[in-house]
Amino acid sequence: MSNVFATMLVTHVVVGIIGVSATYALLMAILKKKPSLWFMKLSALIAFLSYLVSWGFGGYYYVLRYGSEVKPIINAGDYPWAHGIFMESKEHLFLFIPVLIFVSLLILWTHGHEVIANKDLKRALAFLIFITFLLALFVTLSGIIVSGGAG
Amino acid sequence: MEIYPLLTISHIIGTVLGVGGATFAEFLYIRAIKDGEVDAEEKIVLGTTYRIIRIGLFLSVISGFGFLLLFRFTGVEERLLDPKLWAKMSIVIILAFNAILLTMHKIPFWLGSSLSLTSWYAALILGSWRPYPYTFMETIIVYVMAVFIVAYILHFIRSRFLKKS
Repeated sequence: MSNVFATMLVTHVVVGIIGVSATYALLMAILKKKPSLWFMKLSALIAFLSYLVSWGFGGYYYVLRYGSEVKPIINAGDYPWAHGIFMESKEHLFLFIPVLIFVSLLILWTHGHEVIANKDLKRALAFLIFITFLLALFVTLSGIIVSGGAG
Repeated sequence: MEIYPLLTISHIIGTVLGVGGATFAEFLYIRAIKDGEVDAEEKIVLGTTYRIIRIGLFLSVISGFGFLLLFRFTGVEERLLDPKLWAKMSIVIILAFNAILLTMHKIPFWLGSSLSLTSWYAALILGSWRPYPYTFMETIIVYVMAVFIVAYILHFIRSRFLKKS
């Protein structure tokens, strides 16, 4: 693998993990009785930017290397389902993540005080963030499986 | 500095913070409830301990993924599908969800604290045990049993300590 693709993949993974961690931190923050609004805003912003960067770097790798060099190896190997199920799922599900976290970010930045004051609103946003976290977690684990199948 | 020692050091520091933090959290909590309530100062101390645990978790996860990338780049991709690795990751995921449930008060404290402590030690043991001879299911079954054994031990310690004071 060239240094460029290696850099793309490393950045995709590391920044993606930062995004997932920030989403988890946001979830833990909003579940508190007295959440810290500045912490939630910061976590949401870090998560959103991380997902965008991870998307960009991952997309570059996917378009220029994965399809032509990695996917044939997986399909010819012992774990073709790594691509057929997990990469295919990842390709589609990941699109939701930046959008969902952006919605959370927007709500927090424009109506953050109302979210903290209103239990129903807070619960609804917490659920949205939880779904985002679940999707991000699934995409992350799928990535591990896909890489494992590329041996 | 080469990447492998850096990842190892980071991962160990993360584990130390997590395991140590979880252990201290238990002892600090027992001390805190000795008088029947957790006062403001004790809450601050416990809160700081939980923050240390979360830092440990983040460091462990980031460095852990560093190892996964290293496997990818050094031609040992099959290690990414290793049953021990998946058992360890499953336990870390359980740990993360446990923290969510504890924050929401949706899990009894006796179970949540045992899950936390057992999970950290399980991750430590799995990371250190090489070569590892057991399957994913065998590991998870033992882990689940350990959670309840640790819960009983913690209950015993708490009741003995609180009875004496």
